[in-house]
Amino acid sequence: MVAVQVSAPEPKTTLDLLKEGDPTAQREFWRQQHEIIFRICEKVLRDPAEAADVADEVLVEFLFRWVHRVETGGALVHYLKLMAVRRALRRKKRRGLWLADDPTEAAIDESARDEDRALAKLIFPRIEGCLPQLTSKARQALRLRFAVELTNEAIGDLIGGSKQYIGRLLTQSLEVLRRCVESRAGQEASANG
Amino acid sequence: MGDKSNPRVSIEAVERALAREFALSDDDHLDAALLTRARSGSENEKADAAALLMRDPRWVEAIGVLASIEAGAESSSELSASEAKQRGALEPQRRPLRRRWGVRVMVALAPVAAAAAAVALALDFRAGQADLAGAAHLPEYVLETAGGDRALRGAKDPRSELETVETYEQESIVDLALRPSSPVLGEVEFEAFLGSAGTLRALNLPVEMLSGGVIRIHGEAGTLFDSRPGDYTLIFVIGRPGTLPPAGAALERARTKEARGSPLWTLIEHHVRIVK
Repeated sequence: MVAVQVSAPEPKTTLDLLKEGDPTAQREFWRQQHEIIFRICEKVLRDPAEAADVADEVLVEFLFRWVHRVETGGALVHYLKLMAVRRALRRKKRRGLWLADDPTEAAIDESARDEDRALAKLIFPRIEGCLPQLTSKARQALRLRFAVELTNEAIGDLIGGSKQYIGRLLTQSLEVLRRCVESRAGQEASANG
Repeated sequence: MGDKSNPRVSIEAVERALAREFALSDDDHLDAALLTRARSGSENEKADAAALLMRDPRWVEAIGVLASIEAGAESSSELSASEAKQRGALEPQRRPLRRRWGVRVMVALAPVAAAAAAVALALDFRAGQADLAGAAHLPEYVLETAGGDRALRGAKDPRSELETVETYEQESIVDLALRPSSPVLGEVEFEAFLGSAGTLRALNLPVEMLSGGVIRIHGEAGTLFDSRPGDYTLIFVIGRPGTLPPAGAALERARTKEARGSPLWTLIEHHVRIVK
């Protein structure tokens, strides 16, 4: 008879859980890291709203895309901080570019149909300017929906709120943005005669 | 879409725009993931990771800025509400270098320092952090002047040596060079103020960035300072982005001659007399 010793499996690390997409681990990681990342971004950008956006961007991209490429967790937090600085610096530089140049034409895919091109020309340059009209939470919810296609329930798990609440938040936010874009386009058209 | 003056936008169009606005990007993370892996990888992987960093000055820039932020976090939190208010009133408008004659500049990377930073990061983020923070520290700057008529006067503070006063007529050519004691790695922010009789005014000076972090200011005194005849103190503050002290504190330091800066920023005074 052969004795087989069964040892308890190694407990999963946070990185393992994040790679599996464990909602609890994601929520905890978000809660722990968002403030740290936000503060770093704020130092660079000196604008809390922009800093919050960049922090959201860094965490969303990491949690839902790049976590799978990370093989060791030891340097994770420092990596995120570094990424936050890089993204914030880029946002800061882009802020200057948007002020300097009209991005309208460059932003539109040349291969798009005329109707799409006209629409894009109307919306793309204005959507970024309208986003600050929303709350930070609404912007987070929109990013999680449109960047990584999370369900209302998953978004609620991550940033807090029931799926019904997130659904209402998204609907209302889209409507605010739609009106804002229309309003800005109308004002600019009137101003241009 | 409706007519030009009353455009109609659908929710679907907004959704499409948001998908584009929030689209995930690839460029940053590929390198970073590789670097994270390299921490426990083979020597070859570490060397590859270091080489990757070397090819991308944006990483080296980010490393320097992060080190500055982390090292300066404590001092930044000391900014009081009144100082913040005063800074808001006095702070020069910050724009990219080419947009306002150059105040914020990207210093050319010293190859050796960049290599050291890259290897440190590839070997171990955490251990490397200390080294990188060191690289972010600014060396001492000294002011070299040309133009104007030099004079000496007794300093108001008895602890200090005789102060040098440069006298300029409005048409005099001012030529100042702020020179670091060793080449500077990474981004540097620069602000200048003109102090007189307890008041401080931010100056937007034309700045030329020379190799190694030398900052040169050149121009006609009347244009640069835009001030009536009198005695003034030029105050230059040079530091890592986001670490410069509030204007009020800078003035106080200039007056008391206490701390002349921190490892992340430095303050230099220059006394000038404008005549005619």
